[in-house]
Amino acid sequence: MSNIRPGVDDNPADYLYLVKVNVPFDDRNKMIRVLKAIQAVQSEKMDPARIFSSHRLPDGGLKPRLVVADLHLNLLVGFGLRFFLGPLGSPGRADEQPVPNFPPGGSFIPRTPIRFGMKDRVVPLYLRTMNASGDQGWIASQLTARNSGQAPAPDDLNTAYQAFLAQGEADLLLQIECEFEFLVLDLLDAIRALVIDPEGLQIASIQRGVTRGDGKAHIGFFDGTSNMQQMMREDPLTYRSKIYLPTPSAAYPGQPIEVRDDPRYDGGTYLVYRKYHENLEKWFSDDFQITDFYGKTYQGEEARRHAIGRNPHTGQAISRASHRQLNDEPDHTEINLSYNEAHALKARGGQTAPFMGPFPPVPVGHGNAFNTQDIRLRRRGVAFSELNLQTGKVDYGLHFIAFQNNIQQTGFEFVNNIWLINPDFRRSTDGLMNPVGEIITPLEGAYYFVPPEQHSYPGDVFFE
Amino acid sequence: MARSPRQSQAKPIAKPVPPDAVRVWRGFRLGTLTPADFLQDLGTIFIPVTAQLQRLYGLTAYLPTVLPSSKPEGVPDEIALVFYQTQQAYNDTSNIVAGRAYSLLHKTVFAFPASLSGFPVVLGSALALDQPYYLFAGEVDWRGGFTQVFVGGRPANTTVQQFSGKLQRFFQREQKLQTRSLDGAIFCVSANYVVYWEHWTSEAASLHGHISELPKYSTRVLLQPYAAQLVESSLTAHYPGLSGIESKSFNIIFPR
Repeated sequence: MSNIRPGVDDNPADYLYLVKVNVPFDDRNKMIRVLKAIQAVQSEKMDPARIFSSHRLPDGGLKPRLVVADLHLNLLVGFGLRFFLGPLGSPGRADEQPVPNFPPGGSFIPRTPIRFGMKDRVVPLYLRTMNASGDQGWIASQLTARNSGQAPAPDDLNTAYQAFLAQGEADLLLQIECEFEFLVLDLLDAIRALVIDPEGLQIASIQRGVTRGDGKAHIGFFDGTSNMQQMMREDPLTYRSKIYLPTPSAAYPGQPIEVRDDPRYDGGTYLVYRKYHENLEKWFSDDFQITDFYGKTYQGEEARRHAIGRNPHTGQAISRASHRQLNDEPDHTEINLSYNEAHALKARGGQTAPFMGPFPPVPVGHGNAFNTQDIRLRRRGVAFSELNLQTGKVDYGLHFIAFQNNIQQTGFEFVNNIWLINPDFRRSTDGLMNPVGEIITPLEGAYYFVPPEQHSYPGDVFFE
Repeated sequence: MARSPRQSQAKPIAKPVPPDAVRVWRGFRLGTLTPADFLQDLGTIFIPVTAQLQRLYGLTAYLPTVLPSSKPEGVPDEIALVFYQTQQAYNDTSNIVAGRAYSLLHKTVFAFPASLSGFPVVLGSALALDQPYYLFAGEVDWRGGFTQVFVGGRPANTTVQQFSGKLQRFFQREQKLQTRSLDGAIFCVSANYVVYWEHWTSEAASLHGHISELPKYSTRVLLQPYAAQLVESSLTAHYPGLSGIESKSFNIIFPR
């Protein structure tokens, strides 16, 4: 694919910052001014001709480095549900109808934004409040632990869950990345000085991600081994059909077929962000164990290989039949032959065939079929390691970022809810994400709509 | 998600108080303390003990903000709104040994006479430097709803008179524009800085406000909402206190 969109289709740069920004006003003209000011910073800092440092050529000469082409400085702006309908708990967010993951169904009407005078646009169809299986369970575990082993009352759990959701959201998400961290900070500081501070915006949080340099996540396995690379290279049409909104966009379920999202959103995509803490002490301990569907328990290194389904040194998938390493296949479909409890397999769904789900329960003889390979997303996560400067302690984890054109039914939420956290799917809960294992803990997350590449300024499709 | 179950179990029972029943605190770090020690003492002693002690004497809401250490010279290091049931409830703490001990504790972390505290008065036609003001007369429970704070410094090219004059006009406009959703507003202008707190019935309602215009009149140091933060309320509990408090605004949750 020769026309990649930076920040989505390419691999993440070594340094990636996620800046959550809230807008404490609803004024349309002021919002447009803010977005234009972001564009002005972007135009200056990401000028294709801008150079920064140089590298030495074999002949001893020096070649300047271009910040965009060589150092991959990039800014991607995502727009959260808050941006369109206000913060969680506000009237604009009342009675939200969740999009069912599986089977599809329901009846949805287009939602008109209530902020910034966007009355002639709609809220992108799949931009909804995050609804990830496992989150409430993790929160319940934390509350129980803090309350001397006593499980929280349903009201208290719901209050804590709503706080978790609200804290994770933001109006805008700025994804800033570069191979040089200084250039990330330089761009961020310019946005702060020229946009955020003078326009009275609020920085809700700044997350710093840094690649390890060895291609692995902190859990010791290569990340992104199977990530649509071949499809992007050899079949960009299919790749884009999974990641970007088409024209016409998806019809609204239960509505006349002409009711669709604004055609100006054509080429946009949805960004899912999740911050996961990784308990590496537990993960790398000799006591780490998982049990497969048949009740067989694995421990230590063997358990970790079962949990992921790959060899941590080579990245190769491991056969659940022979336990041997498998050779690469097109689009890395060899992962479908790995352990049923393996994270890599559960996230890909298994055999390339129409799949009739045994979930949710349906009458005998009935089912809802889907093709497992329709369920694809482009992952673009980056590790984090947060150093406590007082204690020297480091917290490890992953900023999980994924792009797709339907979060709930062919993207993150489907993969998480129907496959990973569902013990009925492939008869095993995901070996890595299993809440019982307490290896992975979600700290926050939210969904964002990333409009098509701007012609004037980020988000111009909402106003022009 | 940093809420404890006990926080959510404490069902909100509103305790609105008059707009002048609040100590408006602007604290400057004691010169003999390093910034790191100052933050540690605030987080592990001063902020928790404010809730632990003063709740016994009528404290209804406590909203401290710890400024970034990179703040301009002349801007406070910590500010707070400390609400009591009445002004008298606060005044009575000087008759109580623990109340006097709490008052004395300020001198272990804050510099005097630079640090200031006072009750606000309603904003009229004039504005005096270092006098806290409130804009609206209604009783409000600042523990609930949505509160945000703006702290700004005086721009280098602006005189004190220009600075206070522009801010006075801004606050007088706000006072006239009061909506039912914006039910509480307190500010204080000094020669070098302005602090402004506003209380809304909800965050959604706050989107109709004008706080984001304040950077026009002062150099922004901080603009942020308050986040609920539970502290241990028992005077005998083993409790480490708060850490990582710099550049944060807390709505301290305690039994009341």
